Amino acid sequence: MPKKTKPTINFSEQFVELEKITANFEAGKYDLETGLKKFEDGLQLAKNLQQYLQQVEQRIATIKTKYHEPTSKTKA
Amino acid sequence: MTVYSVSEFVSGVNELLSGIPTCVQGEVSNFHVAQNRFVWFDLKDEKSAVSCFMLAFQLNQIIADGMLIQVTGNPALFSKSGRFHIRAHTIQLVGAGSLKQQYELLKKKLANEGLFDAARKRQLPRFPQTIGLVTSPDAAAYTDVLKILRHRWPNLQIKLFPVNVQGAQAPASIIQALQLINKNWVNKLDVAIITRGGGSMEDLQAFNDEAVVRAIFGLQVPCIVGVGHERDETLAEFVADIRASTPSNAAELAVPHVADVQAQITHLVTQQQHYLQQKLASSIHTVTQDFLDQVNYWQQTIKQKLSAVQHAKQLLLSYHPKNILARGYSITTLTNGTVITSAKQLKLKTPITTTFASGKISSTVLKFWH
Repeated sequence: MPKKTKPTINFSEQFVELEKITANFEAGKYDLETGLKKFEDGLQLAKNLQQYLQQVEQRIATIKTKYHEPTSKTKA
Repeated sequence: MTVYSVSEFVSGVNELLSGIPTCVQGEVSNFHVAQNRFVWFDLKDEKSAVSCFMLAFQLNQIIADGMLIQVTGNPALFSKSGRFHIRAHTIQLVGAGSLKQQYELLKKKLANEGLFDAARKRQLPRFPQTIGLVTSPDAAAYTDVLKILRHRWPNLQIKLFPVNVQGAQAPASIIQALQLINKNWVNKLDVAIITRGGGSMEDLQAFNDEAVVRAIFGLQVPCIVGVGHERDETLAEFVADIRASTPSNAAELAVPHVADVQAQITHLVTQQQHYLQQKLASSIHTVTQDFLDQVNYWQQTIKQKLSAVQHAKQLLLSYHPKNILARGYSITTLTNGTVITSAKQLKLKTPITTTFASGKISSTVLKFWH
């Protein structure tokens, strides 16, 4: 197996967490101090999720390229 | 003068007449068979007529009124009536007209019996290995047939059954060969070819002989019969499983041409290759399409999720606590960053930090209002 940085986060859980934080802000549940902390947490979650998705997107693109390569070789 | 009784006279005359072998030629009239045993007819020419009598089993030809025939036998009187007649032993047809007439009669008779029925025709094997050739080795037809068979299908085994194809001995000789095949060769021969070249109707007569036709009917090996030229027809051909127009044609019908078979094989292989290629291409296309559909679906899903994350992030950003500062509020914290929400958290001279929408300041507590 080639060594690759495997995205290991649980996407669903983290996404739900991000939504929960946003919803709590919406409902005005946080005081200022908690709010600052949660806001930072939320930004970190969003960053993680985006990175994860970008990695997956990259992998799919690689698969697609790999798939096309052997077909064109056999045809030539 | 001696006086005889009638019976003495008749038997005496009969004795005298029986010593005179006779052959008379004339036209048949009043032909009829009584009780399936007794054959009666008159033989006549322009001026005279004479009665003829014979036993049915001795009649080896089909005859009918109007036929010109030669009757061999002896003159005799019937003992009861004293009537003069020819006691016939053998009959031979004379002239093409009679042969033709006999041919038509026999053809009709055998057709009625079902000898020529299409339903009983057997199919010839497509690729015969051994062929029995019933013909005269002296005939030109034999060489032709052999040449064509060898040329078309080189590995063919050919077993010759030599027969007379012409003359008085021909029918018996052909029948004997066919009996030999039925006895010893049924499992060894794939096809039998019975053939001879062209000739007059008399020459081909053996192939219109009733016994020969019946022997071909009883042959246990599928057979092809090709007699004479294209215009000739014989009863032997009608009774055969396959009727060939000529000896050469019989050979052509018996075996395929090796080149044709090779071409056919090439064609079949090409066809199958083509079919397989098409099948493969279509399978590849299906697999490719399925895979691409799957990948595209994944990409679509990732895009949707990215967009969802982006949306959640935007929403979160709209709740940034510092957004309030823009409206003139400020955040006051201890130096360790703890947000101060009550004056009770502070003492005099405590250093505090105040953050505005733009910039921060440090200050100390000078006074409390309670």
